[in-house]
Formats: sequence, structure tokens, C-alpha cells
Amino acid sequence: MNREHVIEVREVTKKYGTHVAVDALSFEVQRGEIFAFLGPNGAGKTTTMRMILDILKPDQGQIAVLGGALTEEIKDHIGYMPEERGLYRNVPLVDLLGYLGGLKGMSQADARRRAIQLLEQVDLGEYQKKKLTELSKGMAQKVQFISTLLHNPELIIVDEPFSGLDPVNTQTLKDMVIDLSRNGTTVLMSTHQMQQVEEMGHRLLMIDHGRRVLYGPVDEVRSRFAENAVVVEGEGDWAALPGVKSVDVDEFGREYTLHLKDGVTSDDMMQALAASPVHKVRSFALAVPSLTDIFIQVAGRNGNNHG
Amino acid sequence: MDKIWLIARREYLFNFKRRSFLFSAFGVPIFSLVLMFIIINLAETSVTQTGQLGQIGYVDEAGILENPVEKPEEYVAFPDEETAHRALLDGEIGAYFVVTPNFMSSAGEVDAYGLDGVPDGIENQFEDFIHANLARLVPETVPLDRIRTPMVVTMVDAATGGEMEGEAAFMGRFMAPFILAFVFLMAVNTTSQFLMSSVVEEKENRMMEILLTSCTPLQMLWGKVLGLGLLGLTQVGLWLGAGALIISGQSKDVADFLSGVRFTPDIIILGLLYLVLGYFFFSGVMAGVGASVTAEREGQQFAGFFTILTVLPMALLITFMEDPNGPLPVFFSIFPLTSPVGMLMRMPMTTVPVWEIIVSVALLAVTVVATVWLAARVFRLGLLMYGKRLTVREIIAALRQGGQTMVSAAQSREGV
Repeated sequence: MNREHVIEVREVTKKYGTHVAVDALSFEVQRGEIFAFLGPNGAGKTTTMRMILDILKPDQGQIAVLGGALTEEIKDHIGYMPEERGLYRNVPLVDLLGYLGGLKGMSQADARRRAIQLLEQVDLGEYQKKKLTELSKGMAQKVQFISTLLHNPELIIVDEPFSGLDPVNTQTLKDMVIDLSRNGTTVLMSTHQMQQVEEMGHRLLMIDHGRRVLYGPVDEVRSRFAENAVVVEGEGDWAALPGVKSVDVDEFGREYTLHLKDGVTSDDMMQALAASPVHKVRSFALAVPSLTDIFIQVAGRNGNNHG
Repeated sequence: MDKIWLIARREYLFNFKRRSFLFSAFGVPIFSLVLMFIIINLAETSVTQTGQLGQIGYVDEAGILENPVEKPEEYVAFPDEETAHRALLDGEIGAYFVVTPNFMSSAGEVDAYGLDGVPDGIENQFEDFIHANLARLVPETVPLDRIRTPMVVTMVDAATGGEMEGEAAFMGRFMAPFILAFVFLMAVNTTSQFLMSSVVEEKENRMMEILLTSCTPLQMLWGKVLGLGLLGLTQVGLWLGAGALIISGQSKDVADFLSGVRFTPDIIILGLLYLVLGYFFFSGVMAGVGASVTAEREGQQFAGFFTILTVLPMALLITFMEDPNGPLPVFFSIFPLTSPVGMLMRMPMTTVPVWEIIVSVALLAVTVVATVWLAARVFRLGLLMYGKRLTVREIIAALRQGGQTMVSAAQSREGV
């Protein structure tokens, strides 16, 4: 067992009746990384996470978490924020969080102290005696998030952590996730918001119909989907350059995508531009597609209408 | 173990504050105390009522009250109904009785007249008066007292040869285990229903996934069972305390009743055994039901079925008293669902053969083990089925899968 692998999923299959929710899926999550888990609705993300957490049993395959089978002791080192949020509603926040911390093996005093500290960190300090029923939806979600990291877990698994949050709260939670990762906590995060993955994610896994369709470091995945093209800003007749097959311009008329002929590299193009007296270049970049494009492309290629 | 205790503590404290618990734990005893108080006061006023109508008239058309003995002061004799009636209308008397001419040959017919009816107390007083005067007609060899009180029964306990005081003691002997069984059963019912509510609530508010990733289903189940079991004991304690309070301020009848209460060690030990087994049985059923339904109301229908089954022996109290060894009492004291109440009712009434007790306890124990085994599996499967009721097929599948669950739970413990 690799010590650097916080989660190892090997050939895991889960069926509901005849429907195959997860199909021979394998991947690893490495220590300290922010691992993004992507996929269309119904792709099997939540089922996979539930299997990692031993809520569901896989039909086939093995899962190792923090070095082995999920024992009760290991559960104390994991924080989980389920997709369907929910906590006891009629209990003061500090009592609620104290209880949840206790269930993760903390002493009551520690759990309550840490709860108050975290509530203050997300601007809910004054609500510690209030009940969940008295809070807005966004506030409740922050409380749920706090409950995930109360016990300083080594691994947190969060299902759509930012859904339904306003930009300010999203930023607060994002900062906390990045902080956690810097301090060595491993984060497995499922999301639909590609922008978050591009900003925070180290590696990603995308599944569709329970099968792995994309897997690897975020930058590598993006460049793998990059076609042989560069994006430039500047002045001049781009189509006249040697090695350019065709030119697209963006809707503002500012960025030009130069599709290159086979065998022509971006380095060749840079040299050509530098040598050309009739072209002025303000910016030059590889044409890397956004994850949104890749997501649509891959999900679309698998050929179905997803909700 | 720490987590089980933590869960138990939360369940205890949270459910203690529930309105329905506060009502049944405090409201019922307070209500009983108030009711008791009212009844006692009413009884007292009915005793003092005899003087409230002032003078009472009577007309003796049968000729048995000439030169009457033991005539109360307020009694006035009238020669005929007419004068008595006028006196009543004029307000000189509050009521009058007419001893009809065929009093001796008929069933003892007496007419009572009053403007607003005649209270029981006054009627009883007049009856005593008639009694005393009739007794004069009996030969002197029969003492007056024997006419009034023909017999006094002294109960002798066949087992000890000791004397039991009065009928109340006799009732105490038979009713006390019944009453205790009833109190325990009420507590077991309330708390096991809380168990179901608590499971359904955690499904409804989606706490379940978080709990499952913090502890094992068995820890959850045990935590709930223990916490709510303690809550049930609290309720019994409160009820018995209130009962003691009621009794301490009570008349001789209650003291007699208590003198007849006979809790031999075997009844106490068996009672506790049945209580604990009964509680585990109900808890298992309720946890399983709670996990497999989507709404609390739905679960309560299932719960109601089991409750009715359990209290069935109580409805058959008369059958039990008539022949404690008849086929129905024997069946109900052995059949697992009814045996806790059935056996406790039967034991004070007769000597139950040892084999019947053994079979009954063994059957109940097996049922409990099977129920908890089943509940733990259904529990785990049902926990995550939001908005969907478990089908029988899924439950059977869960039982097959259950082996794996147990293995992983066992491994977890070894891993710690």
C-alpha cells in the first residue's frame, strides 16, 4: 500500500439492480492534494464517495482509505460533507458541533472550543447559541462545512461544497479549502463548477456512466485537450504567416486563434512572429481549452442527454 | 464504547425535552394526582350531604316503623302522603320516603320524593333506618348485628398461612403485578416509539450519512437503545414516585391493598428479565421499522400493531382470573409477543409449571436475538433510502448481505 495514496480505488463496481452505477473504476488520491471529482449528474460520483466512506459496499473491487479498510478509528480522521445537507435543526450550534466532534473522538471541551473558533472564522461567531432553524441557507451550509473539519481530519470528502453559496461565502470556503490543503489535509471534492477546479484543483477525475473518462493533473488534462493552436493578441495579417492553417477571431475581435499545420509547433510560430516585421504581438499563449469545454466535449462524446 | 455512550446521552437529553415525553412522564402523574384529589373531595362532600336537606319525612304505609328504633333526629313521620307532600312543597322537609303497603310482600318497594332528586347519602341513611327496624321482627336468637353484617371474610394466604386483611388485600395480590407490568409496558412503548421517531428524523433531516461516517450502525443502534432505555426507566421512576405519593395520603383500603402485594423473588427476577427482553424486542422492531419507512406516521401504524398484540393479555384479565391454567392464558404466557405481560399476570394467580416458564423465556430470548439481528441489517440498509420504503425483497436481500456487513464490523473492531 502506497503511503502517499490517501485513497486507493481498484476496479470497483456497484450495481443497483441491472443499472451499473460504477463500472470497474480505479483511481488514487494523493496526500495533501485537492482532488476534483467531476462528472455529469447521475455519473456515479455520490455512489463512489459513499463506497469510499463505507456507507455502501462495492459489489466488486477494493477500496483503501488512509492505508487500509475503513475502520472506526480511521473514520475519526475523515470529514464528510454529503450532497444532501442536513444536521439536527433544533439544537444550538455549539451543542450540535460539540456532539459531532465527540462522535469523531474529540473531547467535549475541545470540540466546543474548536467549534466556536471555526464559527468565528466564517463570521457566525454570534450565532453559536442559535439553532439551525434560525439560520439562512447559506449560513447553514457554512455550519455544515465546519462540521466537516471540526476534528482536523487528514482527509475531507466534500460533495458539491459551493453549490448554492453567494460569491462572498464561496470565497470564504474556498480560502479554507486551500488553507487545509497547504496544511497537509487531503481534499476530495466533487463539483460542477469548472472554474473552481481550474483555480484550486491539483488533479482531477471525470467519470461518466460510472466509467473513468478523464484522469490526471488538471494542467495536463487541459493541455491534452489542447489542439495544435496558439492564441495571440496584436496586429497584422495572421493568416499570412507560414504554418498557419486557419484563423478564428473571438467575438470582441481581440483574440485570434491560429490553427497550425501539422508538424508546426508553437515554438516555430513564436520564432516566426518574432522574425516578422509586420506583426505586433501583445500576448501569446497556447490554446488551452477551459474545463467547461472539455467537460461538454467529453460528456457529449459519450453521447447522451444528461440532466 | 465512548461513542455509544455519547449517542445514548444525546438521545436521553434530547428526548427528555420532547413535549410528548414531558406529558407522559409528568403530565400523567400530575393528572392522576389532581383526579385523585377531586375524587376524595367529592367523596367527602357526599358524606356530609346527609344533613344538607334539613328535615326528612317518611310515610309508613306498611306498618313496620311504629315506635321506630335508631331514628335520626331530622326524621319526621307523616300520617299520609298528602301531608308529607304539602310539607315538602312548603319547604318544611327536604325529601320524604314512602314505605309502600306491600313492602313486605314485594321486593321491598320504597318511593323517594324530592324537589331535586334524593342524594345517595340520604337514601343509604334511610336504608339503615329500615334495616334496624326490620331486625326487630327477627327472633332474638339472631343478633341484630348479623342482620346488618351477615359475614366478615378473612383471607388466609395458603402459602404462608398468614392472614390477609380484607378484599383489598386480595386484589392487591393479583393486581399489583398487573399494574406494574402495565406501567413498564407503557414506558417501553413510549421509549421504543421515540427510538423509531429518532431514526425517522435522522433520515428526514439527512443526519444519517454524517452519523454513519462517524460511527457504525451497531453503535448507533446500541446508543439509541441504551439512551432511550434509561429514559424509560426515568419515566417508570417518576410514575412509581407519583404512585407512592398518592398512596401515602390514602385510606386504609390502599394500605390493605399493599399488604396483599406479594413480590416474591422469583416474580421480581422474572419480571425484570421479561422487562429487559421485552424492551430489546420492541427497540429492535422500532429501529427496523423506523429505518424502513419514510414518514413517522407510516411507522406508527406498524408500531400500533405490535402494541395491541402486547397488551392483548390485559384485555383478557377476566379469562386469566377465571382459569389461569386455561388454554388462552397458557398460550399468551408462552407466545413471545404477549409473554412478558401474560406471564406476569399469570404468575401470582397460580403456580406456573417450571417448564412453561423456561419455554416462555427461551422463546422470547430467541425472538429478541432474531429481531435485533434482523433490525441491525434492515437498519443499515434502510438508513440511506430516502423517500423510499423498503420492499420485502430488499429486506431479504439485506439479510443475505448482512453477513458481509458483520464481517466488516468485526474487522473494524479488530483494527482499533
